[in-house]
Amino acid sequence: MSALGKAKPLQLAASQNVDWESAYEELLPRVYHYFCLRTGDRLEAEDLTAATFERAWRDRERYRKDLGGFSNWLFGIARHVVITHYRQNHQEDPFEEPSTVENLRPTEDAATQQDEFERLAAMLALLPQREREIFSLKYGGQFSNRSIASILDLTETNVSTILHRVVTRLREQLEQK
Amino acid sequence: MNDDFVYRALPKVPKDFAQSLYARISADNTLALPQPRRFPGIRSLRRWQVALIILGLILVVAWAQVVVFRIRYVPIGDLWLVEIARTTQNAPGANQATVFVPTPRQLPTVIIDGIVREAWYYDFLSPTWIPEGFSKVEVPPSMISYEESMGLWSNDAGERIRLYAVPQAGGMHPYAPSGIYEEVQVNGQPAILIYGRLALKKPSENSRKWDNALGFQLSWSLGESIYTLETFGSYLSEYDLIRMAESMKIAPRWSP
Repeated sequence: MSALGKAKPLQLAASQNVDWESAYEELLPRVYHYFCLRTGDRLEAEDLTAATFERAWRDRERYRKDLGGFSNWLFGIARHVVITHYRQNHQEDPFEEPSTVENLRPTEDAATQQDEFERLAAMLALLPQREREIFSLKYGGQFSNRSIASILDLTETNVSTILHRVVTRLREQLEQK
Repeated sequence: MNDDFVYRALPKVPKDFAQSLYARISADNTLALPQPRRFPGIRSLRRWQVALIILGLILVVAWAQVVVFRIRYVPIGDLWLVEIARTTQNAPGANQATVFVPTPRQLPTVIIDGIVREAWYYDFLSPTWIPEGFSKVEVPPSMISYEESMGLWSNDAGERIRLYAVPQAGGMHPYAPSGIYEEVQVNGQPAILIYGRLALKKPSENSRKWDNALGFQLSWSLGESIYTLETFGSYLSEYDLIRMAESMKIAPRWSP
């Protein structure tokens, strides 16, 4: 329990044999990175990650092992949490395609920070909603192309094509900078 | 596909955030495990639990079919009474239940014109006592069926008493719902007295219900045959039927 300090260990959900401590250690980075890539904001990602795990813990009796893996269930919550978050805050869906590219390019401050994440987040903000979601599930959620295709009801080939196109474009943009 | 730049860009999970979130979840009572509901909803049931419930329901229905609607054979002396349901599905217009009971007894066979036939030996029984007001009448062709209608008596009101016989082996045995019959004796031998019969309430119905008031059926066994005396209403008592049965004298009627 290296990352968790001396906190009281979470009890197992006996009915589904989910080791929450292990699940927390394994899935926390994936969920956090997923939110980072989806929102482009680390603090917002922390809030959404916390909300996701709190809700998952509260609703853990609803998890049904026979309906799928625990990570799929948790990311189902995560996706719902982020949608609800933006709806409640009346914010523009960050995944809507921007009207102009210029106003979403990285600021001078971000560029000067040389923060790779900030640059990546700025480029992700230019992506259409579906491409950003696929990208976030792949590199944040660590899902396979097949799983992403299943989650988003796409073909695996379609997911692979989109990912290849997005990664190539992002890399080219980074190299240009 | 070179995507290392993506992984390099991903920020690490802040350690204090990971620890504080874990501590908050484990310590927050409001996030405690919900109390199990006494009666869980169908949505909270696992798939195997639903399957188990369905299987249980099927077993209960099957058990009810066996217990409530079963046909049970009750040995009474040499007779087998067939217990049936009070309501029996049947073709409209049918006036007899068709319940055949296999018996271990086999009829002897004879060869007639080179063909092996079952030989049903039975004795013609003629009652020497007949209830007052009744006299013997011709058996109408509509009453002659597989059962041998051996005698028919009627009074001025058109009320009738019928005597018929069926073979023990493969024949139609007495039938009645449970509790609607009783064991009596005819000349010291076990016999079955049944109250009423199956009847159609309306010609359009396709099921018949047992009506206790529709006379009596008195059955007893002799040799290879089952004899039955029956009435069709409440114009005679069961004692009249038993007395009539006990007054019968045996006379040879048919032999191969």
